[in-house]
Order: sequence, then C-alpha cells, then structure tokens
Amino acid sequence: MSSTELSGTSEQAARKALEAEHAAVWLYGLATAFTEDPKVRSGIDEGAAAHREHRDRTRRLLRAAGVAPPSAEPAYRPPKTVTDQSSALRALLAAEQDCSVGWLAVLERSTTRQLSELALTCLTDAATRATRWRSRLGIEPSAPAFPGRE
Amino acid sequence: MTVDFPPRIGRDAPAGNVDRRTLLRLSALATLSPVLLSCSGSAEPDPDPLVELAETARADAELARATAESHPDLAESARLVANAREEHAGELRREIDRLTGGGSTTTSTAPAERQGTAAGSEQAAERLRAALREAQRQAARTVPELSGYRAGLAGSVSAGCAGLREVVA
Repeated sequence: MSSTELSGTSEQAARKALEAEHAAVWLYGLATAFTEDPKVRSGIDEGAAAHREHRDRTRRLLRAAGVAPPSAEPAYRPPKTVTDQSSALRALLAAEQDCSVGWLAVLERSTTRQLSELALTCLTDAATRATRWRSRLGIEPSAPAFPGRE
Repeated sequence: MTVDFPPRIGRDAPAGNVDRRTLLRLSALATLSPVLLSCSGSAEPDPDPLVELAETARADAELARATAESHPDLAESARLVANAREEHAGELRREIDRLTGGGSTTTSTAPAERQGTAAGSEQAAERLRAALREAQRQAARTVPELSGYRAGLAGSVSAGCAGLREVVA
C-alpha cells in the first residue's frame, strides 16, 4: 500500500486541515440557528454538506495511510460572538479561510496524487464559498487572488 | 440453498473499499501515463508548466480590462478580475524567473485572439466566466506535475479563478 503512505509533513498538514474541517462542520451547524433568509439557509446547508464530505474523505485517506485521524472537539470558539445572521456569516467566512490555509499547506507538502486532488478540491470549494459569504457581507475585494494565503 | 448473488456488494465493506481504491489508483495511473511518456523522451524536463499559466493570466487580465472599459455595468467585477489575474501573472512570472534566472521568454498569442468587443454585457460576462473556468482547469491540471511551493501556487491560482467566477455572476 505504498501509494497511500504519507510523508511526515504531509500527514501533519492533513491532520491540521481535518481539524479545520471539523471546526467548519461545527460552525455551519451553529450558523443555521441564526439564519433568516431562505437563500442564505440553502447556502449554509450546501456548505455544511460539503464540509462533512471533505471531513469524511480526509478521515478515510488518513486511515488508509495508517494514521489515526484527529477527532472533533466538543465545541469551537468563533473569532467573534455569533448573535445574528451577519455575525454567523462572518464566523463561516473565518472557517472557510482556515480551511483554505489548511488545504494550501497540504497541497504544498503532499507527496501523493490522491492527497493533492483532495487538497485542491477542498481549497477550491472553500475559496468559492468564502467569496460568496464576502459578497453577501459586502466585504471587498470579495475574491482574493491567492486563496489559502490569507 | 442460499442465494448469494450478486456477491460481495454492500456486505463486505473492507474488500469493497480495497477494490475501489485499486480502481482509483489505476485510473490515476491511466491519466498519468501520457505525462510519464512525454517525460521519458528527454533528460531535460518539459517546458515549465507555469509559463502557460502566466500567459493565460496575462491574457485574462487584458480581457477583463477591455471588458471593464466597454461594459460599465461589469466594470467593478471585471476590474477585480483584472487585478487578481495580473497578480497571478506577476507571481507566476517571478517563480518561473527564479528557476531560469530570468532567461525565459514570453510568447503571447492568446490575448489578440481573445480580444474584440462582445455585443451585450451578458455575452461579455459569459466570455469572462468561460476564460476563468478554463484558467481554473488549466491550473488544476498542472498541479500533479508540480510539488512544494509551485504545486501550492498553481493550486491557489486555480482556486482563485474559481472564486473570481463567483464575482462575475
């Protein structure tokens, strides 16, 4: 199973990215309690499902490489207290940025094609959603040139 | 008598997983083989894949700037695209020059082809989105050929283009 083996640094980066995905799953769950707009709500549901899928794929990949995936914390602290839809979206933006940073680090350290593909998918998805939340919040520029470097 | 058909589906998870993984690995190899073949031909590595990305980025920046000028209603988003793609081009060029010592040349044929004024704003926006979609794919395709900082750079450019597509909605 040599093709599923991970180097030490790529394993560490993948573990950190998984932690960011755990946090995102939790925060998307929190955000649903603060959304009024049905359009925002469906965007949140979509994001939550995507992060759950990325979390599960990362777990499977780590297990296949003989690495015990880190488990989720009972709760996460958003950068700022979430009290309404706007602050909830800001927390989601922070979660997407954390995921972007985590997956870019994986991409820079990956030594297997499988891990690189997963990292690029997750980075692209996180960048796309972050742009949607920035647009919704009126944050400019809504699309940074280099996602994952924020 | 026990009916055991079809066998091993949804019952034997570990075996199923291994099969799928093997299949994935084979399909990954299948897409890899042309690259391996083209590499084995010469000792010298192929031209820097980042060159192509830099040229596309430069062409997109020009297209976006032209779009911003001819379509005021798209100006804001097109300028954002122009700036970001300009940043991509600059950063890619720096990385290319770092390896070659600045000796590489640019062959830009793409911009002229892609210029020209589109009739309506909707068409112009669609053209910009199509360019970004292709740029996203092009950068994504190069990622498996690269490693380290360069893999991250190409991946971030690809993800950046995906984000920019959202802006030109």
